[in-house]
Amino acid sequence: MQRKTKEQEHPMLNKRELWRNLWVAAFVCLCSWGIFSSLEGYRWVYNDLLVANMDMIRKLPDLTNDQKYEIKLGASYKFLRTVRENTPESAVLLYPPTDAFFPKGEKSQFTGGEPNNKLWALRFLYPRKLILASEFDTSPYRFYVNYIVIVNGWGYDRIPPELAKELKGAPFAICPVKAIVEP
Amino acid sequence: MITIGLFFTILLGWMLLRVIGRFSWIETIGLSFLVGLGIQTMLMLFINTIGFRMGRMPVLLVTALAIIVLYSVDVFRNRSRLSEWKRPCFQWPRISLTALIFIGLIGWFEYMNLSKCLYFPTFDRDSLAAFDTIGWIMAQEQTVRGLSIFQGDYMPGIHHPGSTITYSPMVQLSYAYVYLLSAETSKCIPGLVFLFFLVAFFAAVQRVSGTTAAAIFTFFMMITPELIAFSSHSMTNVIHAVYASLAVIYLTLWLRGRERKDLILGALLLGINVWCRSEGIVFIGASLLVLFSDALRRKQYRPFWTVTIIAMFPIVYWVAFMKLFGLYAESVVITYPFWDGDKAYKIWFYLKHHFMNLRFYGYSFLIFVIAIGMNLPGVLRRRVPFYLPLIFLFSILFYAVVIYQIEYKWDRIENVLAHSAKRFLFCFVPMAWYYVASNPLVSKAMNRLDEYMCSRKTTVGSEK
Repeated sequence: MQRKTKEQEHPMLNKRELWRNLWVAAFVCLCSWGIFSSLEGYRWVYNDLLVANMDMIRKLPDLTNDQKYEIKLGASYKFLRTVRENTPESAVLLYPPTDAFFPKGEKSQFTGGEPNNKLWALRFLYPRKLILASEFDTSPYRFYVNYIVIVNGWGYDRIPPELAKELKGAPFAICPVKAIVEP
Repeated sequence: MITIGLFFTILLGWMLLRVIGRFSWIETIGLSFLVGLGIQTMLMLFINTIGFRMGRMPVLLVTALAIIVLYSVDVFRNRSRLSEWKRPCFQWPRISLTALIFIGLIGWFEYMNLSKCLYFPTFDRDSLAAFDTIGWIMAQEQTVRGLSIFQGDYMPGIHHPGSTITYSPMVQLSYAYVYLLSAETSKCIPGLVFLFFLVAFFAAVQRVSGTTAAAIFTFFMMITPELIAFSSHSMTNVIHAVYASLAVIYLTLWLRGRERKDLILGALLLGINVWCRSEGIVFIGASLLVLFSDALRRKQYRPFWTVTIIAMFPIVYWVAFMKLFGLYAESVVITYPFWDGDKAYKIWFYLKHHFMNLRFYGYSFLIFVIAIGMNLPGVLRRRVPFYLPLIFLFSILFYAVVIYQIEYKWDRIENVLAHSAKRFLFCFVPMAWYYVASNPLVSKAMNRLDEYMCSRKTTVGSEK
């Protein structure tokens, strides 16, 4: 009976095939490395997009979603969280216009998002109803407004003057209102 | 609950693929979630259309019912295949060291990408101002018709031009699905779509150029900077690119091998592509044009009509749903022909700039042009098919026409071209790499290389 060769007994030990695989792999990897490192975009993918984020994930594995939102959306998220935590789910909020969040010619504290965008804000405030200042006159919900969101001084004219005096200087506030004061 | 729900989606896609035809195991795995998600969202809208709430139980029950129906069809049509279920024949492919290294790299890169995707909740502007929020509210109210944010008295701008109300519903519904299943964020959807897409793309390239080429080209496709960066965001662009590119790839596979399963799958993916983003209509237009010319040449019109019906069904359904339940926005389409040289130049300038941008798209389009150049002599002698570049070119042309015929009431055309159009080009990245891989010279060389590296005929773990 013919004896089996070492390669037949252990297919992985086929030396010729192994060498072929090794040199082709080395050649292809070298070429690919050349292609990869020749472009800034590819290097950015590895270093800045993948590895840097992975490092952050390893350093901060136990962050809550709230904390992650804060990292990404900054003060805009903190503001919306404050509104959420201080109003009931059934609240109907009179919500400031864009100019209040981003005053023209001034640096806004609301970094990292669009708290002035109704849909954007609703992601964090739903099921509360938001009535934008621009919609107030025509909205059928204007009679149900029970909170007013004050931002950068906007809205003082719609709350009682003594309350406005107390809140002066606050970057934002949420005031329960029995009835909106017509400006 | 979320695991069960996603398992149902994968099973739904798996069963549908079995009904369509016999695909390889890797193809079936890759496509199962993608096809399943498309059908899942259509079922959700169907439940809502007939007047039920899209609650967790109704959605899971209807999905389970659909799985049972598809399984029954599969058993009924292919009784001989029953033995496969009892004794699956799984054949390990002969795999080269190069392929192993690149599969390892794909796995490593995707592990980091998926970790990033799942770690951060949705934070991108477009998603929070549309898709994710709409999905979240759909899940809370368990409906699309009569959704509170689609009511003009509450959202006065909802019927304005370019409003989110008319966006194709797939992504919003898929986010609603995971929110229904108690997910904290919707990020598992884009994460899983990209993961399964890598498998599906690998399998498609493997069919034409072997395992080593599939591993190398999948790796280079996935590291395209803008594509991988957006793959971990919950915007619709990458999800759309997945469906649009796979649709074109499978239609090209059909034109190449004339296997019915590829035609049906290509048509289905084409339908889901427009179910995902309405500008996907340009891929339907381009594909139908190429298929029609093929039908004219061969005097066989059935495949053309099959694709037309399957691909148009989702968008027709969505338009009918919108009409039925009063979801509309002011039109932004200019319906008459006109000439605006400045607008045309801007479109040309931005598209050219994007296609030539190596920083955004890596070597994808450069290598695509080289592959076309390599194929050109064969194309001129009519030995090499030119279907994919034709669909590619027609799609760009139609897209340019669509951009041209839109009146920009809600934004500046420069912004649309700089951002939306840039992301629209994601659809072409996988197509470009697939075309390079399926180039006859590359394909032949890579198959030879595979043979050279794995010359032995024995198959490991195969069942005779």
